[in-house]
Amino acid sequence: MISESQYNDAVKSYARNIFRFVFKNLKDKDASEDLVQDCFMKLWQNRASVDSSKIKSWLFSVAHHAMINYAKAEARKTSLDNAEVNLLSTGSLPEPDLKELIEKSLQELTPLQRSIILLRDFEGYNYKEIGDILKLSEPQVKVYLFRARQRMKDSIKTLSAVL
Amino acid sequence: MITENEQDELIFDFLEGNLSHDEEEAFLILKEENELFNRQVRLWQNTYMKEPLPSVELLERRLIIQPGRHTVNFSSRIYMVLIIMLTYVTLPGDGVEKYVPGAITKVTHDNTPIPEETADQASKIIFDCMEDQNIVVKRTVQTQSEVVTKDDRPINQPAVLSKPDLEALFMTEQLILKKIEVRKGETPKPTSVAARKKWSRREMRMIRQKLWQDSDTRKANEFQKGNVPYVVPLNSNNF
Repeated sequence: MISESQYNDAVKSYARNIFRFVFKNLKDKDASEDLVQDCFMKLWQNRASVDSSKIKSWLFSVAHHAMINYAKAEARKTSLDNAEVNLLSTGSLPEPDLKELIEKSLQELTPLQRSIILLRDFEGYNYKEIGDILKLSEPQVKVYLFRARQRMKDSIKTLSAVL
Repeated sequence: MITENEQDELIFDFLEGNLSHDEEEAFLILKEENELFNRQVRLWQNTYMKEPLPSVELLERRLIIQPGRHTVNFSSRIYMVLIIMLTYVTLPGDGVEKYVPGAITKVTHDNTPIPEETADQASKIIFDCMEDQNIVVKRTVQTQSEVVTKDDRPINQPAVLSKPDLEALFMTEQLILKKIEVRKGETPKPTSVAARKKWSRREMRMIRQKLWQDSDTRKANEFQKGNVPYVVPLNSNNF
């Protein structure tokens, strides 16, 4: 059971973390804000059943699933538009710095891999906590994380060589 | 000779802190001695992201629940209960006339039907009810006969009150308010609202009840709920 003050504390403590987690994935500020609002709305609606000691992981779990649903819906909607935009943007691409390369490589990962990386790097969760949030076992998290970083590394290497 | 995948696993374990102390030392020696390996480590290090948190104060402000805004606090609940109770408190004169659910006709205590009154009469009845229970029936009858003789308007047609009529109604109200003050055994105060600046509790109660009786929603709710005594309503179209 979550009280009103606990809920407000959760907003102050975790809103920006959830926002960053979602924004890093979606790259859309408005959509990320909406999604964060949805997460907190769900938290308030389910306050009777949510364990107050697990608010953070509950929020990340809800955010992850909501994000995947949103990304799937968006991919269906704008797959053609994106292809055109990408073609146009690659024509006049400015010289990227390392940060941009990392961002690009991050976007090439699957949503699950991206979530694991973000939870690990930004939130400092250990394998077990990530597993609890994403409903994975500890070894699975480790393998996913390794593959995600390996893919990112290869991507950065390729992109920096090309550009 | 290790494969590329094994090398990646080694670097990954080192950066994740999964290596033992001895393994870490061996790893650092290898890194210093082998430039190619060192470059691979640097590439891997780029996959670790650390950035300052974005500013989301506005979002936080929207998400935080303001006390009393989304929840009903104790005082509000008390107030709501009082309003509901006031709705069902009967004034003197209640039960003298009532609507029978379904039939929507007015009857007296002994179920004798009362003909529909005109708007003028309804106004009078309301004020009479507020004044005293004993006068209600008498005045109702008197007013009805007066209305019939003076005015041939069809029943239920909204009356258009002239300025003198409205002034007379206003004066009636003022007189009632004066009587209330005298009954309470207090020194008579100015009856003007502006002079007194606020209504007494009893006046507030009566006014609130009068407003409730005016509303059609209230009437519909009363009928739906069943045999709730209902005072003859004051038709708001007349004012």
